[in-house]
Amino acid sequence: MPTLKRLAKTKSFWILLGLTIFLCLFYSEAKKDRREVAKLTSGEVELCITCHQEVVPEKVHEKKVVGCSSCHLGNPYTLDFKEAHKNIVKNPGDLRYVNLTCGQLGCHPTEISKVKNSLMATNHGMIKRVLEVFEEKEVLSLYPKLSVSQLYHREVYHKTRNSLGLDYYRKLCGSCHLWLEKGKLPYFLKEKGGGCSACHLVKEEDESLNSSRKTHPKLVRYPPMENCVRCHNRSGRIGFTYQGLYENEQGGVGDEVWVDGRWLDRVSPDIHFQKGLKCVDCHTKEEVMGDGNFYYSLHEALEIECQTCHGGDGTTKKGRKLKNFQKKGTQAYLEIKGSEKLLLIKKSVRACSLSYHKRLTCVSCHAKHMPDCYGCHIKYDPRDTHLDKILAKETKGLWIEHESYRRLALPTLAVEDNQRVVTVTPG
Amino acid sequence: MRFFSFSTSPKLNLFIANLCLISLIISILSGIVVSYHYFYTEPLYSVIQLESSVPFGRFFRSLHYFSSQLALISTFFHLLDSFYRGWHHKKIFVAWLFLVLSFIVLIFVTFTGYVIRFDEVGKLAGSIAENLCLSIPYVGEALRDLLFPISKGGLYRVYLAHIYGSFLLAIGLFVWHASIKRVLSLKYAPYLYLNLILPFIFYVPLESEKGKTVVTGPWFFWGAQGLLKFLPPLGVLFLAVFWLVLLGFKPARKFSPWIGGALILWLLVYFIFSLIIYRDAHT
Repeated sequence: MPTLKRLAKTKSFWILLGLTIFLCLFYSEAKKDRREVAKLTSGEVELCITCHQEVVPEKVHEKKVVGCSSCHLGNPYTLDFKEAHKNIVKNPGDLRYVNLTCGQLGCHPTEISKVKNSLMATNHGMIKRVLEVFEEKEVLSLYPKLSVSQLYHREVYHKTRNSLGLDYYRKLCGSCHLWLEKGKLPYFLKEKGGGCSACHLVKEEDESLNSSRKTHPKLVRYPPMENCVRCHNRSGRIGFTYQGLYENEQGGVGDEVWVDGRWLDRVSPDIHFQKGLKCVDCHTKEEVMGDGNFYYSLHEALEIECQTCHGGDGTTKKGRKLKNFQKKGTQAYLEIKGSEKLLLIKKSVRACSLSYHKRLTCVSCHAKHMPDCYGCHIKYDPRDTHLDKILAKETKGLWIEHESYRRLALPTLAVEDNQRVVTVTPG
Repeated sequence: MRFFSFSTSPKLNLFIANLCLISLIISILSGIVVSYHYFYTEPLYSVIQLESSVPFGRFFRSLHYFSSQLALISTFFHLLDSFYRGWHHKKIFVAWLFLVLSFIVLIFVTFTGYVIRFDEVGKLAGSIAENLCLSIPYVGEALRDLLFPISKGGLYRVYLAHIYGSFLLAIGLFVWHASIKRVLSLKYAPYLYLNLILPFIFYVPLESEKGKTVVTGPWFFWGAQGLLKFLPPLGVLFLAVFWLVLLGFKPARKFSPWIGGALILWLLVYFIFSLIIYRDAHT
């Protein structure tokens, strides 16, 4: 201390210190990489694009228009690596913070609350059905609108931890919902979930676009069928049947292997698929992304029927007009979304209007085949472990599904509510 | 505190007083350098340009930032110190009034400093200030037009207020406290270096509100923000009490422990509300 005090009283000490500081400053300035300040087309400053040269292969979210920070957050006002990447999000579509990204003012604010209430985000129909099968209605009385987002809450987890039904759901069904964090689960499951990105994100395969630069995944307005089938390939297996695939009895033979290892046979596809229609060409935005209402089952949420187009004027049973339905004279057409291609809609034939066919739904005659699995049963082994898709870790209790045999046959018919004849499938 | 054995006053804490003096001078001088590259028509762009392209620009901006913060904090403690030790009795009321007012001016200048850089925090702080002015009955609109007419005419007046406020402070400083000759003395070197070293160690980038659910103003306003948010009518009164106490304290001869306790309580409440706002903004 006395030495420091003595030094502090000398001019040369302070001059030397000043020189040292100046030299340090000069050195850091000389090393500094000077770059031009980047601006978006709106005039806003966005320094992210100074470093990030990734190509965004679409116009709406083009880098020069929205920049990076509008979606991925972070700090666009600095070139300091650590500061710039603070609070950054990899997947802006994740429903946990989508209000700050896709749902921010000026982008898609109205869609977000609807999506969060949609069945793909709540999974309420599935959860409710599983709990009913397991005869655990007390869970439903505790949480009448139980949705998958609640299963992530610690309080709900502790209150329902003894529910076998929810354990089953968490382990066998918990990877097919929008609240799932994309990339959190292993293997093929890492492609699932991700909120908005689950449907609207497409990995750009075209390397020739610019081989020297990384390519940003593409965001699409109309989700391709592959994104829908990523989840809709179990239970009724509509995603497979529609495109002419049949999940066979798994003897190690088949025409194709699905990402999860299931063997598939090629069969004749649905006529709509043959004509080039994707899922979203028929299913409306409100059906898929929700219309704001909380629905208890898929039946409540669905609104299109065959008659909406075939013989109808493009109005769904909820009174919404299909945007891609067009009428020219006496002919009706359906436009394939994202292209300008018009498909002629077949009118219903005379047989459809015969009085003794009145109770038949269209599919009861027109569905070619339907996969049926018979003798389905599940086994629970409390000693073993199974991946809990909500907690993203192995927990005690293994669920094993069994079936006696499987057939691709003409669909089984049943009478719904003592009114209409419909097709049904076990499984 | 008396780390350096320079001439000391038996009463006032000279570390705080000197730090306050030197920081303010550095803040004003670095402000002159920074203002040379600043354009109120393109505020954010010019500030970022200053940081990324102008030689030593980032250093000067950081220096301006840290010296201003140090000036604000040390002036606050200098005020409390003078108050606690009864120095206000050695001055005439006008001098005391100016000291209290100069702190208000310093807060205002620091605040306008945040606004004129026009990053997201600045933009929102400016918008809040404008609306707060407008919410004042009778004089609100005139006050807004005088200080924060951002939505009407951009940042020009705010920038002028920042510059004029700084000159006012500089005049006040040299009239009441120090001469230029005194400032050049070697004994102020430690305070100068303290100001110079901080920009080397820390970097304070322009702030973005992206990813935050609660918009916050500059750190010294967090408490006020919390009080106005959670206790709207009482909060205004609570904030006014501090200044009323300081201004109205001149007649009292002795520092009453009651008043001291009330001030500590006030600061504690302000600090707690600052923490609440910080927590809300970072969760």
